[in-house]
Amino acid sequence: VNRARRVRAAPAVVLLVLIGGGCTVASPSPAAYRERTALVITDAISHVATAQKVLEASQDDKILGAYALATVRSSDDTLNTAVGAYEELYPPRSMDPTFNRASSLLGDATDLVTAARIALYRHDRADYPGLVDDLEQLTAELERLEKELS
Amino acid sequence: VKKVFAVALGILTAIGGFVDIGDLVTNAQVGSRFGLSLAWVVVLGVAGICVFAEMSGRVAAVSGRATFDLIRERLGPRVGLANLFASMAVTLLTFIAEIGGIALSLTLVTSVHEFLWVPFTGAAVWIVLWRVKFSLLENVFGLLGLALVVFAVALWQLGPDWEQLWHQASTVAKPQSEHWSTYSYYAVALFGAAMTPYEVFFFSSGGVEEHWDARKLGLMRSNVFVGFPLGGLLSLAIAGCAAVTLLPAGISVDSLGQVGLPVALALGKLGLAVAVLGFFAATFGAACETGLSLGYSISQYFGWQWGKYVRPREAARFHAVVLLATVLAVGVLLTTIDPIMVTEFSVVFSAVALPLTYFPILVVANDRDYMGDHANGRLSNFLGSFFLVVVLVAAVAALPLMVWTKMGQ
Repeated sequence: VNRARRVRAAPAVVLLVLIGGGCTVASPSPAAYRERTALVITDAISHVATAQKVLEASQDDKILGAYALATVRSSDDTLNTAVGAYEELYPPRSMDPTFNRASSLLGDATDLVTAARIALYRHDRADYPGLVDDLEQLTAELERLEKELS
Repeated sequence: VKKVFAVALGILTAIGGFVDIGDLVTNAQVGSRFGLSLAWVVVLGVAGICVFAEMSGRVAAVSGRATFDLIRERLGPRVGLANLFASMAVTLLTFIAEIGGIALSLTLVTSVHEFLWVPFTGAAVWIVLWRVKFSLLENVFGLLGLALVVFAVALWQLGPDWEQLWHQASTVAKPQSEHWSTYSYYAVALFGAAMTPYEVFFFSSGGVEEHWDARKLGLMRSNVFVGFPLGGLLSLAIAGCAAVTLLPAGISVDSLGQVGLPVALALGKLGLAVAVLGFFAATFGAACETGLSLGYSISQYFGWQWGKYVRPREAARFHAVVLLATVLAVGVLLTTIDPIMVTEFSVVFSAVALPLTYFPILVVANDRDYMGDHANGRLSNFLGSFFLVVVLVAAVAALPLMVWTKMGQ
């Protein structure tokens, strides 16, 4: 009887283990972690470059205010989500230098894109040139890291 | 003069109505990551939808019966029901994406969050489907959709290296940073975006509603063979704009705002306003078409009274399906799911579901009992069989590629 019960309970146990496994935060291998870092850096480049292009277009009065704000807000939201998901991972010890460098650049990216969003909302046109320069520099640094990781 | 006007109007609305949220997003995504190296897929997809729409339009005109009426008859109730279920699931997914697309378009000109727009857009779509005449609906959104020509103007204004663009478009190559698996995934997605099943449900059901007969075949063919390819050029212009401005900047598209950014850079505020009008018209028009397609197909299968030309009271179940679909679509979007992600799923699943309706239409178009002298000729059969193979390959490859590439990452 016990054996039959155990057999019947097996699928439920397997299901629980699978669900439990799915709910835990991943601790990827160094290669997988490197790949995830490269992906989030590529994402960050995309959103930082978007904010830069929008600010440049706003400087030249080429873009509608609401359009500029909606586009950068979307980039800000997506970037924050991507960075949040990346930072939930547990980096392998050997990848600590990569983690530190990526975290620092990603932190700068989220801060700058948020700053661009706020500047657009407030119409702080005087801040646009400085932000464009900062975003451009950050893109160059992100691209360097992306190259190293690829 | 009246005939020329009818042909011109049909072609113009076919061009303007060709692009929907799937085309907007997928073409811009592909352009921003692969340049024009996947342009051949757009050409293939447009040729495929021309063959499919011509066959189903001819079947509708000659037999006077719409797609799911014939599918049930040819495949039997059980297989027909399974077919209906899968096709409607994909069409519903596309309907959700289109309503989300309208909300995103409105966000771009108001900066009010898209989720606040969703209930209003859902209500607006339903009111239009309930109250507005079929011809008005088709013509107004089709003509307003022509605003997307602004992408072709923007591409010209951006002054790209045309030789390089032609080189990208004429060679099967990819950027070094991309894998062949992602290239293949986007090829399938682009094919699914160009060859969406709802376009054919709407086109053939519209033909039955407007009482097409064999005399209307010329008009139908001019819409298909002139209007659709010109609509396909709009898709290429969207990809071209992204290839010229977004790809060099490292921007990969995941919002509707990024799709229109090249137009702002090329033409400024006025051009951008026209592009947003095009986004709105394309998504609203496609939302109406997908909503109606759901009502049409389900009603045709069960033999209910259907259509926009009969009074709502006489086609109560048809309108109930449209209303329920709208409520469901709004409910799904209010879970705060990203409409762009829904769009990405919808184009891939379109590719998966395509053979379910393509194959029965090909069979009926060959059947002389239904079609008489208007059955497929040699050329139609060759093209029909060739695209059957293409459609099957895309359908089989779509899901494994989606899983393998983690949706094109």
